[in-house]
Amino acid sequence: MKEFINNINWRPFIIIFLSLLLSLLIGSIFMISSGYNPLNVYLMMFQGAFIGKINIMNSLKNATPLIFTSMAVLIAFRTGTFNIGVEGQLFMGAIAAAWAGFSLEGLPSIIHIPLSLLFAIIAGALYAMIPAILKFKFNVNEIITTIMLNSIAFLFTSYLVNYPLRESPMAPQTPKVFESARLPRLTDSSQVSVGIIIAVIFAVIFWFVFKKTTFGFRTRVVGEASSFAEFSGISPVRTAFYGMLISGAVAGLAGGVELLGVHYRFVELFPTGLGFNGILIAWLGKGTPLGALFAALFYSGIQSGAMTVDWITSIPRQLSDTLLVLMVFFIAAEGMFDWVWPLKKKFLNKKDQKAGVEKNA
Amino acid sequence: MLSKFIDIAIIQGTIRMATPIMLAAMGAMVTGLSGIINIGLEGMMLLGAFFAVVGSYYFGSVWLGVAVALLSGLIMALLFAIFTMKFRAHIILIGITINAFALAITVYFLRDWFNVAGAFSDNAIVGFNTVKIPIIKSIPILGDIFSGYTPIVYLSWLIIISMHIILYKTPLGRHLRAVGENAEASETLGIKVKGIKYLAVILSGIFSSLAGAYLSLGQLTMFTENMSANRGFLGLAANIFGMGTPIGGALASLIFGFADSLAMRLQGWETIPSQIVLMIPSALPILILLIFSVRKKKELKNFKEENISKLLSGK
Repeated sequence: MKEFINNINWRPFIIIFLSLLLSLLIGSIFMISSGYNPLNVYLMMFQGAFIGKINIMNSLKNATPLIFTSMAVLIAFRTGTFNIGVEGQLFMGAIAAAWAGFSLEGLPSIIHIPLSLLFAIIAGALYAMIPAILKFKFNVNEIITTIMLNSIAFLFTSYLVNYPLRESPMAPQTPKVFESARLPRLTDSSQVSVGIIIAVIFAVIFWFVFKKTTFGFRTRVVGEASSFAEFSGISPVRTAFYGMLISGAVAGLAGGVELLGVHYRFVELFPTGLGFNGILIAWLGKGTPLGALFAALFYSGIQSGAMTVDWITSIPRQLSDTLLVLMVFFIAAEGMFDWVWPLKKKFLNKKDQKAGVEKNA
Repeated sequence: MLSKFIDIAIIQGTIRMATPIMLAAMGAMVTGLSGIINIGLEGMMLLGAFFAVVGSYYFGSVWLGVAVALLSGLIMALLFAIFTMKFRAHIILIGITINAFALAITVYFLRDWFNVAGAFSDNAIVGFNTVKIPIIKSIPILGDIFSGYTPIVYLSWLIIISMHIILYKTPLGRHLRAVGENAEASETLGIKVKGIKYLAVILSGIFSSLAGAYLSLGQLTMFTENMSANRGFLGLAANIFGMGTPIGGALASLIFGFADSLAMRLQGWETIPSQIVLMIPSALPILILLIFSVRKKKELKNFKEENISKLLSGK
C-alpha cells in the first residue's frame, strides 16, 4: 500500500487542489464585493450541486454532453491538433440526430436510437473533415477555420429550423423525435437519460485505449513528439487527420445524445458553450480521460450549484463559468507552482536528518 | 443590379466594420512577428468593449472610457505574457481561456454591477461623435469616403501607418522581425528577446482593447453580450492573408469589413434567408485563406523547381 501511494504522481493533484483553492479565493472576493459571505455561498453551491436527488440528477444531466465534448477535445489534442470546432460539430450532430429521429418512422427503439446516433456521429465527423482537409492538405490554420465553421454551423442549423425542417409557423424548431428514437430516462422526475451511462463507459474505454493499446501509444507519440514519431514510422499527419475526424465524430455524438436524451427536438436556441467548456474541462482534468470525466462531473455540479445560488441571492449564475475559467488558468500555468516542489524535499530532508540523528544516538 | 448594393453608404460601412478587424490584425501582426500566436485577441476586445462602457459611464468622459478599456487590455496582455512565458502555459489554451473568461466575466459583471442581462445602455454613457476632417470633407465623394467617422477610425489609420514605419524603418522593427524569425540567433546578437515579446503582447492587448472601445463607444453607445463576435479571429485571419505586413493586414480587413457590411445590407432583402447571407463574413475568410495557401504552395513549388534546375544546369 505504501509503495502504491509512493508510486502515484501527486503533482497533478496538488496543482489541481491549489488551483481550486486560488479560484475559490478570487470567487470570494467577488462575493464579498456584492455583500455576501463567501462561506455561505459556497455551502449553498455545494448543496445545490450534490445534496438531494433532484440536484444530483441535474448535475448528471449537465455532465453528459460535457464528458463527450471533453473527450472529443482530448482525442484531437492527443493526436496533435486543437479542435476548437467541437461546438459546431456538436450542432451538426444534434440536427442530424433530430432529423433521423423525426423522419424515420416505424423503427423499433433498438434500431432507431443507434441509427439516429450514427447520423449524429457521421455529421460531426464530416463537419470536422472540412478543417482537417484544409489543414492537412492545404495548410490552412485550423483555429481560424474551426471558429468560422462554428458560426456557420449556428447559422446553418438556424436556417434549417427556420425553413426546411420547421414544424409549424409558431416557433423556429423541428418536430419532436419519435418515442422510438428517445434515449430512455433514468428517472421520471429528471432529464437524465442513459446518455450519462454511455458517456461514462465511453470515457473508461477511451482511457483504456489510450493507456493500454498500441493505437493509444501511436497517438501519444504523435501528440508528444512528432519528430520522434516520424522516425519510428508513424505518420503524424495521418494520425492527426484521423484524430480530428474521430474528435468530430465524438462531438457529433455529444450533440446526438443531448438531443435524443434531453430536448427531443432541435430548437433555434440549442445550448451553446458545450464545446468550448469541453476544452476547458479537458484541461481541468489535466489532459487525461478519467480526469476529464471527474472534471465534467465536478463542473456540472458547480453549474447546478451556481443556479441555486442565482435563485436565492443576486449572484449571477455565470459564477460557475468564471470559477471554471479561473481554475483552468491556474492549472495551465504549471510554472506558477514551481515553488511548491522544493518544499517537499526540504520537508523530507528534515525527516531524514531527524531519523539519522535518532539512529546515531 | 450591382449599383443597388454598391454605393457610398456601403463603402462607409466597410470602413466602419473593418476598423475593429484592422486593429485586431495589427495585434495579430506584432505578436505573430515575434513568434507568438495570440488567440486571446477576441477576449481582450470583448473586455475592452465592456470596460470602455464602464469607464464612460462612471467618469462621464468618452476618453476616460477608452483609458479604462486600454487598462483592461494591458492587464490581460500582461497576464497572457506572464502565463505563457514565465509559467509555461500552453499558448493556445491561454488564448481560449482568456476568451472564455471575457465571455463569462462580462455577463457576470453586467448582472452584478448594472443588474441587466444581455445588454447595457444608459444615457450616462458618453459615446464618440463623428469628426469631419476640415479640407478633405469638402472634396466630393472622397470627402464622404474619408471623412465623417469617430476618432478611433482615424486613430486606427495612424496606427497602421506608424506600424509600417516602425517595422521597416527603425531598429525596434528589425529586432521584432528578427525575434520571430530566429529567437536564439537574436539573443546572441544582443537583442532582448523576452522584452520584445512582452512588448509585442502588450501592444496586441492595447490594439484589441481599443478595437473593443470602438465597438461599444464608437459604433454603438452600449455593451452587448459577446459583442466582439469573432472580430478578433477575423483579425488573425486578416494578418495571415496580409502576410504579416501592416498594409496587407489592413487591406485584408477591408475585405472582411466589406463582407460584413454587404451582409448587413442584404439582410433586409427578402429573397435570401438572412442566415445564409450572414454566413458570408464567416465563409469568406476560409475561402480566402484557402486560395492564399494554394497559391503559396504553388509559388514554393516553382521556387524549388527553379532552384533545382539552376543546380542541375551548374550555375
